[in-house]
Amino acid sequence: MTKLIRIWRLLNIPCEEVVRLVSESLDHDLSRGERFALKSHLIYCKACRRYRRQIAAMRDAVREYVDHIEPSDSLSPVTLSVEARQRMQRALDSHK
Amino acid sequence: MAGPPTSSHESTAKAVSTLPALWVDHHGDALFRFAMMRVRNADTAEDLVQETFLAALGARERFTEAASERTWLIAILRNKIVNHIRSASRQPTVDAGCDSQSAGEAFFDRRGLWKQGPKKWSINPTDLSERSEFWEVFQQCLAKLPPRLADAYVLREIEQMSSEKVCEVLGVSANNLWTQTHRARMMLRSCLEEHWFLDRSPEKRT
Repeated sequence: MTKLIRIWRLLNIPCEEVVRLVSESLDHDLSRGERFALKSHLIYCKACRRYRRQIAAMRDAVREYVDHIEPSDSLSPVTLSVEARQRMQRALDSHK
Repeated sequence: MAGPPTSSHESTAKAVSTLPALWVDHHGDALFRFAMMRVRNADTAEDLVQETFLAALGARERFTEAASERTWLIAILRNKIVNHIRSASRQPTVDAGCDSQSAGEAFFDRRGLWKQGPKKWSINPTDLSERSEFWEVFQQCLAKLPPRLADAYVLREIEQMSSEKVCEVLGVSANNLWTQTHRARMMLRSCLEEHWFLDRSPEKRT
């Protein structure tokens, strides 16, 4: 009976808990109960399925950026200011 | 008189070796961008880049040409960034406790159901022209997070450190870290949705 209650609870965790499990699955292995709860919730909840897909896509995109785009992104608008550039050049030149 | 191609070979070899006078021109922007993504503050990023150049100057003899000059400088900068985050995480901040409540409440009702679920979008990594802009928006969204959450996200997702290592750097428990990375992912997703994906959806363009 208590086992049935436990399963019932796992089948009925709210979305707020589910998105936490989605995130935790990226940081560590979930317990069997957590995996069961997550899997069964995602079968019927479109919003949480979409959330999981987008969180996974964000992780993939960040890895792609760090590994392949960031080292040679010459189009980026993020650049040193002229003042910072001059300050650094002076600092380097004075240490010669 | 026309010399054999040895002279041009020599000059290529010279170009590979380190010329500190050229560092700012060759690597300044790339190092700054690298630091901005991770510390999210222009003054701090500039300071760390300048410290990196000076540290590299002092350690020039340890540079081996097996690595590229850029890779070598980035490695020094990465160390400085992690140390910066390590000491920042030990400073008291105002966001330590109060963000923990508001994060979930913004997205879920009292029963833990979505107030408003995620909108439909996907990331198209092949769209080259928009890449730089996207990462600028991404960085701005990251900068809007409470600093502790952003730090946890940077170490775990951008630096791709193991959870154990991140816990050690930030001085938090594993449970604490998982809560922080969870909130960071949730808030970042929502910010990107609002400021990038919905801004550029076809319906809005027309």
